[in-house]
Amino acid sequence: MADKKIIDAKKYSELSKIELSTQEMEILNEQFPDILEYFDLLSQADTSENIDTQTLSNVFRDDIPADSIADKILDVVPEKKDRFVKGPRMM
Amino acid sequence: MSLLSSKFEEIKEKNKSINAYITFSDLLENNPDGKLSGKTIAIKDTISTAGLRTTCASKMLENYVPPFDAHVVSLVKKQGATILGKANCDEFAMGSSTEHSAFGATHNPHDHERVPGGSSGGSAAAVAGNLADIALGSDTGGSIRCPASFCGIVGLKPTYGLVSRYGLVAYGNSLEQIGPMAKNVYDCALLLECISDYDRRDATCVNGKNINYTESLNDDISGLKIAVPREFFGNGTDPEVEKSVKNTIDKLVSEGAIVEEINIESIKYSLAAYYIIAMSEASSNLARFDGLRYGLHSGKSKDWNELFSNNRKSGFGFEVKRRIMLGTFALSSGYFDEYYIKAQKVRSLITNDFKKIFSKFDAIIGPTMPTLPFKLGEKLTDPLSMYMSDVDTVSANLAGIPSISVPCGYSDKLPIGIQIMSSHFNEKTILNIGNKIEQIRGFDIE
Amino acid sequence: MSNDYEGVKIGLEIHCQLTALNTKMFCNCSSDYRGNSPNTLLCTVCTGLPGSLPVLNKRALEAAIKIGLALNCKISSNSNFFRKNYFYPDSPKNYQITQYDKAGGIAIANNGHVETNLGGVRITRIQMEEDPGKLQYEGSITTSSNTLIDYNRAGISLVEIVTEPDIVSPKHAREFLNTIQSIVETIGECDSKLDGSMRADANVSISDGRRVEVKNITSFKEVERALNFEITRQKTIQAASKMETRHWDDVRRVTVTLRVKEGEEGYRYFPDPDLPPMVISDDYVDELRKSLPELPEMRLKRFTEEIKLSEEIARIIIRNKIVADYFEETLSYDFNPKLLSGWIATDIMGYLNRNNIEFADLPINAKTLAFLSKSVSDSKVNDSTAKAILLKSLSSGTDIEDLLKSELADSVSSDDLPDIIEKVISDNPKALEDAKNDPPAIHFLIGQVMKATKGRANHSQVKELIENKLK
Repeated sequence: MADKKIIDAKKYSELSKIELSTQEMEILNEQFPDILEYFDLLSQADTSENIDTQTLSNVFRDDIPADSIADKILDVVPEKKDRFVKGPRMM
Repeated sequence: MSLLSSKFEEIKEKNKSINAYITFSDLLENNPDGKLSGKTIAIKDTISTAGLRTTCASKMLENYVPPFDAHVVSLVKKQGATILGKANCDEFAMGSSTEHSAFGATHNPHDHERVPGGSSGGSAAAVAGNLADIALGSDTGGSIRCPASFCGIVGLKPTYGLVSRYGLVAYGNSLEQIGPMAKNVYDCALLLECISDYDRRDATCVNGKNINYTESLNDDISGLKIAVPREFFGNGTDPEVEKSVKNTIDKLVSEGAIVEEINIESIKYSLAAYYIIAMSEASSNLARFDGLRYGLHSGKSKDWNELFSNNRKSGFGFEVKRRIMLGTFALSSGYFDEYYIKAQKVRSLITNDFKKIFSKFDAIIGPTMPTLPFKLGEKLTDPLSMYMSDVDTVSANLAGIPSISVPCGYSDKLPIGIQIMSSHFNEKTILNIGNKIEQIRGFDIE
Repeated sequence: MSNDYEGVKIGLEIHCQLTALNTKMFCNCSSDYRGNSPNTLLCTVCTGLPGSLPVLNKRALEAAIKIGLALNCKISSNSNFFRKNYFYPDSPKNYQITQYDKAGGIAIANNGHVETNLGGVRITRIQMEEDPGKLQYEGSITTSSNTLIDYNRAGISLVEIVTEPDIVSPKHAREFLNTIQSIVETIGECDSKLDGSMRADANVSISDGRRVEVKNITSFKEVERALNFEITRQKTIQAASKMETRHWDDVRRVTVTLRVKEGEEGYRYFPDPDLPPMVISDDYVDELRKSLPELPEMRLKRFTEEIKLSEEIARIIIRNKIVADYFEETLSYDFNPKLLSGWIATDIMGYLNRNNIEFADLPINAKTLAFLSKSVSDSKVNDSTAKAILLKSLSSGTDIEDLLKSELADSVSSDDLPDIIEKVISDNPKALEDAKNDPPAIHFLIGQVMKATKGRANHSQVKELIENKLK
């Protein structure tokens, strides 16, 4: 197998919007190569044959409106202003 | 004080040493009608209950009270079950030991220093510890079967699409099912009967496949053809586990089952394929937790970017963070083909292999877990070794086939579970065989 | 004039809401959100509550297929949904359910084309997707200390129409957008008069330069301005050196950098496990095809081949269903297509455009316009008089019928003509002789008669009567 793969923990923490502490990043950077090496086992599998296992298709619903439960939904919103969901600055 | 409420107080007291529950119900409903009337039930805390806090064992949802019931919850209510509370689990169902919970680990009732298994460890411990008659868990890679095995109870993962996932907080949504957990096969079958009604709110739910699962439990098993894959007795398998399972299989042969050892090459890839797919889906399913519409809101921040990152930093435990990162990685360009696409192809391979096997055999049998319940803390420092404990369970999730774990023995008083799988929507066969094992194994569950 | 648009390649991504649907794309919330208080049309699904699941609205699939057919696309026999993963406060799940064209993703329709006055445009694909919620600011996006989020629009059904970079100028883009508007309106799936029901993003590049995405083009009127600005900007820096996304500021009338374009890797597209794929039979497609009304292109063909309008005039008329319907209605009262089409396409449209008036607000109804044209067909007035009446009615608001009445009162009837002609001839004896010898000289006499009748006489009648005198 080639050199141990490195995942740039910082890059993925940004992509997944999870801020990590330096310590956390260190631990992950240390653990990821072994996990990835295990995942690389898959490269040995022969998947050249095209196999379709899809069973279900065409599941739809009718275009009929139901009552809104907007007030119940708003009840669980942490920060509101009038009926808006209050979010932070954009920039 | 009624019988039920005094029992409830007892349960709350007992729970202190086991920590099977995160939240107890405020009001107990005693319903005389329905198939589950008189039965107390614990519901895994990743399943939404209207008006009752649903935390997913995470700080992120520590104070979240859903405005709706999961489909299965309305069904068990309709059938008269008494919901005692929400069962502890690994955070967002990610784990095999119920140690990754923001509300503390659950202890195995058979040995408080050991794990109950996971991720539905609280559900299993509640049943095993007599803190509930029955329970609902969810199984993405073994999360019902593993704790069932470790706690010495029965747990069943239904065929993908049999039970509605509406209301189940998603982790690996192409893999998971809500399923019944109970002390015996009959109660498990009864609970399955109650929760498998079709739900049009889940587009992956299949209509018309549920039956009365209690009916054919006592059918004769002689003539049933059972395959035993050598791959399920791999290197990491504890000799005691192997012995107990193989003894049980011998007993089945005495009852007329026809058993044959086979090889399923593709099984060796199942763990890697499972984790790549599950983590990829998780990274997307958990993106919604940003604190704006529900859940943890950490207060002021400079902008939305910072708010999201802060909320998720504070809300998620480390295991969850690790899996989201790996999933994000596996889906990102440059790696997508090598990991996600490859894993899906391997998945199809495995599914197809099972299909071929079930054209010749009625069921597949092996151990549920490769080991006996391990000690709390034992596998926490090495995530890969924790992942490895799923080696026998994940293939059923990949293929979408039903699988049950039934207690088949003990080693030093620690439970051992035997796993029975069958083809899609063939819960009838695995319940039948499980029921027979219960009759012939030579011991009872208290 | 040098070609300012040399090397310009423009591709458009048009988002059309499926406004004829009653519910959102993946849930049963009402889709009639306009004018509602914020956050009143919500459920677990469109707010992305944990445990919620999407289920596809059958009518949305139908509408998307119809749009695909109307744009001459091939409808896929298998189609599926993918997740586009990105974080943003208007996106309740922080992923959008959409369609993709790689990695096993199959959009609902592909490989179409649309003709316009300024050239054809190929349609790459049409995909179904959900609209996000709406963000509002206290002040502007840069000054607001909070963002106010309304999820009423979250989950509304959209169809995204993606074109090849076949568009060669801002005018061409405008023309193309109008054509799309007319088509989706005709089939009834998108009412573009509703605020925000059609939005466009543009991709602009020059020759070998990189592609720049221009977002936030808030109305089709802004399209030309935004594109002209961006083209000039790119030409000035001699072609864009990096792919980026720019935001059109319609107040300052400039495009500003938003971000270096997030590569598709950022979106981590993968199939949505919650939604089974769609299998679309040929029979179903045929059934939908048969249900389509006459499309603008078909109408154009009919106008040019059967009614014999010029292509240019016909294209102007078919551009908006309301105009084409109006025209056909006038024809039902008085079949004078050349005259009516000319009035509508040139005089009326010209007047409306100059004064920023919607065709729907035109005070002259089809029957009245036909009444006016009939007066020409019946030789009661000549074309130029009628045109003058039309223009006067448009500008002054006076009823055509009243104007016509007073005109006819003043007009010269055919009975009066022989006397007037007699007088003109007797006043100009030599002219009659000239006309006998040199036919074109008749025009002097005709001119005198017209002068005498202050232009009100019917020109051809006068000519005929004078010609009779020559015999």
